[in-house]
Amino acid sequence: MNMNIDVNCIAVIGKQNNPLYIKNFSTTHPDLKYHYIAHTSIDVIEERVTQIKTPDVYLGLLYAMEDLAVYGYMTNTRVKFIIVVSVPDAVIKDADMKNLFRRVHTAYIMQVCNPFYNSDSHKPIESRQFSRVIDIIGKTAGGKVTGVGGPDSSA
Amino acid sequence: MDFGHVQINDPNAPAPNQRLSAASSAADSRYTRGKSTLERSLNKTKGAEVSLSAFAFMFSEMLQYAQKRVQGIQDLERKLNEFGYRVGIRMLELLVWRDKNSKRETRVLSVLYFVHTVVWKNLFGKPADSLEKSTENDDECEWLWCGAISKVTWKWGHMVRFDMISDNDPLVSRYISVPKELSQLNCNAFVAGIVEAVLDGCQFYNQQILTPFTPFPLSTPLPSPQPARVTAHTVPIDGFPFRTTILIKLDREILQREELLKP
Repeated sequence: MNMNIDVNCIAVIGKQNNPLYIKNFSTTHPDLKYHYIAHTSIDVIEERVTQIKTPDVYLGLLYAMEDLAVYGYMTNTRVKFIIVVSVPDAVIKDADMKNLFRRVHTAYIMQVCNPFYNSDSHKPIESRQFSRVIDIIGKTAGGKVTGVGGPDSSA
Repeated sequence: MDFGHVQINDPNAPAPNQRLSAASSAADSRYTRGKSTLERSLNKTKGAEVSLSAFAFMFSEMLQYAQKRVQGIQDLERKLNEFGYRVGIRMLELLVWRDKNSKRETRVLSVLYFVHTVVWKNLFGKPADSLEKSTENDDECEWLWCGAISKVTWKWGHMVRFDMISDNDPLVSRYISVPKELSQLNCNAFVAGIVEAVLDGCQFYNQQILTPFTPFPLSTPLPSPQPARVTAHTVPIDGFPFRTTILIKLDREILQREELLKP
Protein backbone atom coordinates (compact mmCIF):
# COMPACT_ATOMS: atom_id res chain seq x y z
CA MET A 1 0.00 0.00 0.00
CA ASN A 2 0.84 3.64 -0.54
CA MET A 3 4.13 2.74 -2.11
CA ASN A 4 4.28 5.83 -4.20
CA ILE A 5 3.81 8.54 -1.59
CA ASP A 6 6.89 10.52 -0.78
CA VAL A 7 5.99 12.85 2.05
CA ASN A 8 7.94 16.07 2.08
CA CYS A 9 6.20 17.91 4.85
CA ILE A 10 3.45 17.53 7.41
CA ALA A 11 1.87 20.63 8.90
CA VAL A 12 -0.81 21.11 11.54
CA ILE A 13 -2.68 24.40 11.65
CA GLY A 14 -4.97 25.42 14.50
CA LYS A 15 -8.54 26.55 14.28
CA GLN A 16 -7.66 30.21 14.17
CA ASN A 17 -5.08 29.56 11.50
CA ASN A 18 -2.28 29.56 14.01
CA PRO A 19 0.60 27.24 13.21
CA LEU A 20 0.69 24.27 15.57
CA TYR A 21 3.30 22.05 14.05
CA ILE A 22 5.37 21.82 10.92
CA LYS A 23 7.93 19.25 9.98
CA ASN A 24 10.10 19.13 6.91
CA PHE A 25 11.09 15.67 5.68
CA SER A 26 12.74 16.65 2.43
CA THR A 27 16.38 17.35 1.84
CA THR A 28 15.83 19.42 -1.26
CA HIS A 29 13.82 22.35 0.05
CA PRO A 30 14.39 24.66 3.01
CA ASP A 31 11.89 24.85 5.87
CA LEU A 32 10.83 28.28 4.78
CA LYS A 33 9.38 26.92 1.57
CA TYR A 34 6.99 24.72 3.53
CA HIS A 35 6.02 27.49 5.87
CA TYR A 36 5.06 29.41 2.78
CA ILE A 37 3.13 26.49 1.32
CA ALA A 38 1.24 25.93 4.57
CA HIS A 39 0.35 29.60 4.63
CA THR A 40 -0.94 29.58 1.09
CA SER A 41 -2.99 26.48 1.58
CA ILE A 42 -5.00 28.09 4.37
CA ASP A 43 -6.63 30.30 1.77
CA VAL A 44 -7.30 27.39 -0.52
CA ILE A 45 -8.86 25.40 2.31
CA GLU A 46 -11.07 28.31 3.28
CA GLU A 47 -12.29 28.53 -0.29
CA ARG A 48 -12.77 24.79 -0.57
CA VAL A 49 -14.76 24.54 2.63
CA THR A 50 -17.30 27.17 1.65
CA GLN A 51 -17.78 25.67 -1.78
CA ILE A 52 -18.22 22.03 -0.89
CA LYS A 53 -21.65 21.29 0.47
CA THR A 54 -20.86 17.88 1.88
CA PRO A 55 -18.83 18.43 5.01
CA ASP A 56 -16.23 15.75 4.43
CA VAL A 57 -13.05 15.98 6.48
CA TYR A 58 -10.76 15.07 3.61
CA LEU A 59 -10.33 17.94 1.19
CA GLY A 60 -8.25 16.28 -1.50
CA LEU A 61 -5.57 17.87 -3.60
CA LEU A 62 -5.46 21.54 -2.78
CA TYR A 63 -3.02 22.62 -5.44
CA ALA A 64 0.21 21.64 -7.06
CA MET A 65 3.22 23.83 -7.49
CA GLU A 66 6.30 22.90 -9.46
CA ASP A 67 7.17 19.39 -8.28
CA LEU A 68 5.07 19.46 -5.13
CA ALA A 69 1.46 18.50 -4.50
CA VAL A 70 -0.40 19.80 -1.45
CA TYR A 71 -3.19 17.81 0.19
CA GLY A 72 -5.52 19.04 2.88
CA TYR A 73 -7.70 17.69 5.66
CA MET A 74 -9.85 19.58 8.10
CA THR A 75 -11.28 18.15 11.29
CA ASN A 76 -14.63 19.17 12.63
CA THR A 77 -12.91 21.52 15.04
CA ARG A 78 -11.29 23.37 12.17
CA VAL A 79 -7.84 22.04 12.80
CA LYS A 80 -6.17 21.61 9.45
CA PHE A 81 -3.62 19.04 8.43
CA ILE A 82 -1.54 19.64 5.37
CA ILE A 83 0.67 17.08 3.71
CA VAL A 84 3.05 18.06 0.96
CA VAL A 85 4.22 15.25 -1.31
CA SER A 86 6.49 15.29 -4.28
CA VAL A 87 4.59 14.65 -7.48
CA PRO A 88 5.04 10.98 -8.34
CA ASP A 89 4.90 9.20 -11.67
CA ALA A 90 1.84 7.19 -10.77
CA VAL A 91 -1.43 8.63 -9.54
CA ILE A 92 -1.85 8.89 -5.79
CA LYS A 93 -5.04 7.21 -4.67
CA ASP A 94 -7.37 9.19 -2.46
CA ALA A 95 -7.73 6.19 -0.20
CA ASP A 96 -3.98 6.16 0.47
CA MET A 97 -3.97 9.84 1.20
CA LYS A 98 -6.97 9.50 3.50
CA ASN A 99 -5.19 6.75 5.34
CA LEU A 100 -2.17 8.94 5.82
CA PHE A 101 -4.27 11.83 7.12
CA ARG A 102 -6.10 9.47 9.41
CA ARG A 103 -2.81 8.57 11.02
CA VAL A 104 -1.90 12.21 11.48
CA HIS A 105 -5.35 12.73 12.96
CA THR A 106 -4.74 9.85 15.35
CA ALA A 107 -1.53 11.43 16.51
CA TYR A 108 -3.33 14.72 17.03
CA ILE A 109 -6.14 13.08 19.00
CA MET A 110 -3.60 11.44 21.25
CA GLN A 111 -2.14 14.87 21.83
CA VAL A 112 -5.51 16.48 22.53
CA CYS A 113 -6.56 13.76 24.95
CA ASN A 114 -3.63 14.66 27.15
CA PRO A 115 -5.22 16.54 30.03
CA PHE A 116 -2.18 18.78 30.33
CA TYR A 117 -2.40 19.99 26.77
CA ASN A 118 -4.47 23.14 26.39
CA SER A 119 -6.05 23.00 22.97
CA ASP A 120 -7.15 26.62 23.19
CA SER A 121 -3.70 28.00 23.65
CA HIS A 122 -2.13 29.09 20.42
CA LYS A 123 1.23 27.69 21.28
CA PRO A 124 2.81 25.22 18.88
CA ILE A 125 2.75 21.57 19.88
CA GLU A 126 5.97 20.65 21.61
CA SER A 127 5.19 17.11 22.66
CA ARG A 128 7.97 14.64 22.03
CA GLN A 129 5.50 11.82 21.59
CA PHE A 130 3.65 13.76 18.93
CA SER A 131 6.74 14.60 16.92
CA ARG A 132 7.92 11.03 17.16
CA VAL A 133 4.67 9.72 15.71
CA ILE A 134 4.69 12.36 12.98
CA ASP A 135 8.26 11.44 12.22
CA ILE A 136 7.32 7.82 11.73
CA ILE A 137 4.35 8.72 9.56
CA GLY A 138 6.53 10.90 7.37
CA LYS A 139 9.33 8.43 7.04
CA THR A 140 7.28 5.29 6.59
CA ALA A 141 4.69 6.65 4.17
CA GLY A 142 6.81 5.18 1.40
CA GLY A 143 5.26 1.87 2.37
CA LYS A 144 8.17 0.03 3.93
CA VAL A 145 6.61 -0.46 7.33
CA THR A 146 2.99 -1.21 8.04
CA GLY A 147 1.05 -1.32 11.22
CA VAL A 148 2.43 1.90 12.55
CA GLY A 149 0.75 5.01 13.77
CA GLY A 150 -2.90 4.09 13.74
CA PRO A 151 -5.45 1.35 13.92
CA ASP A 152 -6.34 1.85 10.26
CA SER A 153 -2.95 1.07 8.92
CA SER A 154 -3.19 -2.56 9.86
CA ALA A 155 -6.86 -2.91 9.01
CA MET B 1 6.84 -4.00 16.17
CA ASP B 2 9.96 -2.05 16.67
CA PHE B 3 8.18 1.20 17.38
CA GLY B 4 7.23 0.55 20.93
CA HIS B 5 5.49 3.80 21.56
CA VAL B 6 2.97 3.45 18.76
CA GLN B 7 2.31 -0.16 19.35
CA ILE B 8 -0.51 0.71 21.66
CA ASN B 9 -2.60 1.59 18.66
CA ASP B 10 -2.33 -1.78 17.09
CA PRO B 11 -5.62 -3.60 17.58
CA ASN B 12 -3.98 -6.89 16.73
CA ALA B 13 -1.56 -6.70 19.58
CA PRO B 14 -2.52 -9.16 22.28
CA ALA B 15 -4.58 -7.14 24.72
CA PRO B 16 -3.85 -7.97 28.29
CA ASN B 17 -6.87 -9.11 30.19
CA GLN B 18 -8.97 -6.00 29.78
CA ARG B 19 -12.42 -7.27 30.55
CA LEU B 20 -13.07 -8.10 34.12
CA SER B 21 -14.30 -11.62 34.22
CA ALA B 22 -16.56 -12.53 37.04
CA ALA B 23 -14.21 -15.18 38.29
CA SER B 24 -11.08 -13.12 38.74
CA SER B 25 -11.05 -10.71 41.58
CA ALA B 26 -10.68 -7.02 40.94
CA ALA B 27 -7.21 -7.03 42.41
CA ASP B 28 -6.10 -9.73 40.01
CA SER B 29 -7.18 -7.89 36.92
CA ARG B 30 -5.53 -4.75 38.13
CA TYR B 31 -2.18 -6.40 38.04
CA THR B 32 -2.66 -8.39 34.87
CA ARG B 33 -3.89 -5.41 32.91
CA GLY B 34 -0.39 -4.11 32.45
CA LYS B 35 -1.27 -0.94 30.60
CA SER B 36 -2.15 2.32 32.19
CA THR B 37 -5.24 4.21 31.13
CA LEU B 38 -3.07 6.62 29.24
CA GLU B 39 -1.53 3.90 27.14
CA ARG B 40 -4.76 2.21 26.18
CA SER B 41 -5.83 2.26 22.57
CA LEU B 42 -8.06 5.24 21.99
CA ASN B 43 -10.30 3.21 19.77
CA LYS B 44 -11.25 0.66 22.35
CA THR B 45 -14.47 1.37 24.11
CA LYS B 46 -15.44 -2.06 25.28
CA GLY B 47 -14.40 -2.77 28.82
CA ALA B 48 -13.14 0.77 29.27
CA GLU B 49 -16.17 1.94 31.21
CA VAL B 50 -15.67 3.44 34.63
CA SER B 51 -17.89 2.19 37.40
CA LEU B 52 -20.59 4.55 38.51
CA SER B 53 -19.50 4.44 42.13
CA ALA B 54 -15.97 5.49 41.19
CA PHE B 55 -17.34 8.30 39.13
CA ALA B 56 -19.75 9.38 41.85
CA PHE B 57 -16.91 9.48 44.35
CA MET B 58 -14.71 11.50 42.04
CA PHE B 59 -17.53 13.87 41.18
CA SER B 60 -18.32 14.47 44.82
CA GLU B 61 -14.68 15.35 45.38
CA MET B 62 -14.85 17.72 42.43
CA LEU B 63 -17.93 19.34 43.93
CA GLN B 64 -16.22 19.79 47.27
CA TYR B 65 -13.16 21.22 45.61
CA ALA B 66 -15.28 23.64 43.65
CA GLN B 67 -17.40 24.59 46.60
CA LYS B 68 -14.40 25.70 48.62
CA ARG B 69 -13.39 28.10 45.90
CA VAL B 70 -16.61 29.84 45.01
CA GLN B 71 -19.08 32.32 46.37
CA GLY B 72 -22.67 31.49 45.67
CA ILE B 73 -24.54 29.03 43.55
CA GLN B 74 -24.05 30.76 40.23
CA ASP B 75 -20.35 30.82 40.73
CA LEU B 76 -20.38 27.12 41.58
CA GLU B 77 -22.37 26.29 38.48
CA ARG B 78 -19.96 28.31 36.41
CA LYS B 79 -17.08 26.39 37.86
CA LEU B 80 -18.75 23.05 37.14
CA ASN B 81 -19.43 24.30 33.66
CA GLU B 82 -15.73 24.99 33.25
CA PHE B 83 -14.87 21.48 34.42
CA GLY B 84 -17.29 20.08 31.91
CA TYR B 85 -15.86 22.20 29.15
CA ARG B 86 -12.45 20.65 29.58
CA VAL B 87 -13.98 17.19 29.31
CA GLY B 88 -16.20 18.07 26.40
CA ILE B 89 -13.57 19.54 24.15
CA ARG B 90 -11.64 16.29 24.31
CA MET B 91 -14.73 14.15 24.06
CA LEU B 92 -15.68 15.88 20.84
CA GLU B 93 -12.34 15.32 19.18
CA LEU B 94 -12.25 11.72 20.26
CA LEU B 95 -15.80 10.80 19.27
CA VAL B 96 -15.55 12.34 15.85
CA TRP B 97 -12.27 10.58 15.29
CA ARG B 98 -13.73 7.24 16.36
CA ASP B 99 -16.58 7.66 13.91
CA LYS B 100 -15.31 6.08 10.71
CA ASN B 101 -17.14 8.30 8.28
CA SER B 102 -16.83 11.43 10.29
CA LYS B 103 -18.31 14.66 9.06
CA ARG B 104 -17.75 18.23 9.93
CA GLU B 105 -21.09 19.14 11.45
CA THR B 106 -22.27 22.53 10.33
CA ARG B 107 -26.02 22.44 10.86
CA VAL B 108 -27.60 23.08 14.22
CA LEU B 109 -29.91 20.12 14.13
CA SER B 110 -27.28 17.60 13.15
CA VAL B 111 -24.87 18.74 15.84
CA LEU B 112 -27.60 18.63 18.46
CA TYR B 113 -28.55 15.18 17.31
CA PHE B 114 -24.90 14.23 17.62
CA VAL B 115 -24.93 15.44 21.22
CA HIS B 116 -28.23 13.74 21.93
CA THR B 117 -27.14 10.33 20.65
CA VAL B 118 -23.40 9.89 20.20
CA VAL B 119 -22.13 12.03 23.06
CA TRP B 120 -24.77 10.85 25.49
CA LYS B 121 -24.28 7.22 24.55
CA ASN B 122 -20.58 7.45 25.17
CA LEU B 123 -20.94 9.30 28.43
CA PHE B 124 -23.95 7.59 29.97
CA GLY B 125 -24.49 4.47 27.91
CA LYS B 126 -27.82 5.55 26.47
CA PRO B 127 -29.10 8.40 24.34
CA ALA B 128 -30.76 11.34 26.06
CA ASP B 129 -34.48 11.10 26.59
CA SER B 130 -35.59 13.95 24.44
CA LEU B 131 -34.36 16.63 22.11
CA GLU B 132 -36.72 19.50 21.53
CA LYS B 133 -36.60 22.79 19.81
CA SER B 134 -38.26 25.38 21.89
CA THR B 135 -38.91 28.68 20.21
CA GLU B 136 -37.43 30.86 17.63
CA ASN B 137 -38.59 34.40 17.40
CA ASP B 138 -37.43 37.59 15.91
CA ASP B 139 -38.21 40.09 18.49
CA GLU B 140 -39.68 38.67 21.58
CA CYS B 141 -39.29 35.20 22.79
CA GLU B 142 -42.07 33.86 24.90
CA TRP B 143 -41.14 30.55 26.21
CA LEU B 144 -43.14 28.13 28.26
CA TRP B 145 -40.74 26.24 30.43
CA CYS B 146 -42.01 22.81 29.54
CA GLY B 147 -45.32 24.09 30.85
CA ALA B 148 -44.03 23.28 34.28
CA ILE B 149 -42.64 26.14 36.27
CA SER B 150 -43.16 29.54 34.90
CA LYS B 151 -43.64 31.54 31.82
CA VAL B 152 -40.54 33.46 30.97
CA THR B 153 -40.33 36.30 28.56
CA TRP B 154 -37.12 37.45 26.98
CA LYS B 155 -36.85 40.75 25.26
CA TRP B 156 -33.45 40.94 23.69
CA GLY B 157 -34.66 42.49 20.52
CA HIS B 158 -32.92 39.91 18.43
CA MET B 159 -33.24 36.41 17.20
CA VAL B 160 -32.47 33.59 19.55
CA ARG B 161 -33.21 29.94 19.51
CA PHE B 162 -33.57 27.56 22.39
CA ASP B 163 -33.04 23.88 22.22
CA MET B 164 -33.51 21.46 25.03
CA ILE B 165 -31.95 18.11 25.68
CA SER B 166 -33.57 16.31 28.56
CA ASP B 167 -32.58 13.38 30.67
CA ASN B 168 -35.11 11.71 32.94
CA ASP B 169 -32.64 10.41 35.45
CA PRO B 170 -29.26 12.07 34.99
CA LEU B 171 -26.39 9.83 35.92
CA VAL B 172 -24.17 12.63 37.16
CA SER B 173 -26.41 13.64 40.00
CA ARG B 174 -27.97 10.29 40.80
CA TYR B 175 -26.22 10.06 44.17
CA ILE B 176 -26.29 13.72 44.98
CA SER B 177 -28.93 15.16 47.26
CA VAL B 178 -28.75 18.90 47.14
CA PRO B 179 -29.20 20.61 50.51
CA LYS B 180 -32.07 23.05 50.95
CA GLU B 181 -29.96 26.18 50.97
CA LEU B 182 -28.53 25.24 47.57
CA SER B 183 -31.83 24.19 46.08
CA GLN B 184 -31.18 26.25 42.96
CA LEU B 185 -28.09 24.25 42.21
CA ASN B 186 -28.16 21.62 39.53
CA CYS B 187 -24.97 19.60 39.33
CA ASN B 188 -25.68 18.86 35.70
CA ALA B 189 -24.01 22.17 35.01
CA PHE B 190 -21.07 19.85 34.47
CA VAL B 191 -22.91 18.13 31.62
CA ALA B 192 -23.98 21.52 30.31
CA GLY B 193 -20.30 22.40 30.13
CA ILE B 194 -19.63 19.30 28.07
CA VAL B 195 -22.41 20.23 25.66
CA GLU B 196 -21.10 23.76 25.50
CA ALA B 197 -17.66 22.51 24.56
CA VAL B 198 -19.05 20.31 21.82
CA LEU B 199 -20.97 23.21 20.33
CA ASP B 200 -17.99 25.48 20.71
CA GLY B 201 -15.70 22.98 19.05
CA CYS B 202 -18.09 22.71 16.13
CA GLN B 203 -17.98 26.51 15.69
CA PHE B 204 -21.34 27.36 17.14
CA TYR B 205 -20.13 30.58 18.68
CA ASN B 206 -22.49 33.25 19.77
CA GLN B 207 -20.37 35.93 18.29
CA GLN B 208 -18.81 35.44 14.97
CA ILE B 209 -15.71 37.52 14.85
CA LEU B 210 -13.63 35.44 12.55
CA THR B 211 -15.03 36.76 9.29
CA PRO B 212 -12.17 37.73 7.02
CA PHE B 213 -13.58 41.22 6.58
CA THR B 214 -13.65 42.26 10.20
CA PRO B 215 -11.21 45.11 10.41
CA PHE B 216 -8.89 44.74 13.33
CA PRO B 217 -6.02 47.03 14.13
CA LEU B 218 -3.02 44.79 14.37
CA SER B 219 -2.24 45.87 17.89
CA THR B 220 -5.48 44.67 19.49
CA PRO B 221 -5.69 41.01 20.29
CA LEU B 222 -8.59 39.08 18.81
CA PRO B 223 -11.53 38.97 21.20
CA SER B 224 -12.31 35.40 22.01
CA PRO B 225 -15.67 34.26 20.73
CA GLN B 226 -18.32 33.42 23.28
CA PRO B 227 -19.48 29.83 23.28
CA ALA B 228 -23.21 29.21 23.05
CA ARG B 229 -24.81 29.56 26.47
CA VAL B 230 -25.73 26.19 27.88
CA THR B 231 -27.37 25.80 31.27
CA ALA B 232 -28.93 22.99 33.25
CA HIS B 233 -32.32 23.17 34.96
CA THR B 234 -34.31 20.77 37.03
CA VAL B 235 -37.71 20.30 35.48
CA PRO B 236 -39.51 17.52 37.34
CA ILE B 237 -42.35 15.69 35.66
CA ASP B 238 -44.58 12.89 36.82
CA GLY B 239 -42.50 9.86 37.72
CA PHE B 240 -39.18 11.58 37.14
CA PRO B 241 -38.51 14.03 39.96
CA PHE B 242 -34.89 14.58 38.87
CA ARG B 243 -35.55 15.18 35.20
CA THR B 244 -33.01 17.67 33.99
CA THR B 245 -33.15 19.84 30.95
CA ILE B 246 -30.02 21.12 29.30
CA LEU B 247 -31.00 24.42 27.78
CA ILE B 248 -29.01 25.60 24.79
CA LYS B 249 -29.27 29.17 23.67
CA LEU B 250 -28.11 29.85 20.16
CA ASP B 251 -27.69 33.38 19.06
CA ARG B 252 -28.41 35.40 15.98
CA GLU B 253 -25.17 34.77 14.13
CA ILE B 254 -25.65 31.03 14.20
CA LEU B 255 -29.22 31.31 13.00
CA GLN B 256 -28.15 33.57 10.19
CA ARG B 257 -25.55 31.07 9.14
CA GLU B 258 -28.16 28.34 9.38
CA GLU B 259 -30.31 30.30 6.90
CA LEU B 260 -27.40 30.52 4.49
CA LEU B 261 -26.69 26.83 4.73
CA LYS B 262 -30.25 25.83 3.91
CA PRO B 263 -30.16 23.78 0.73
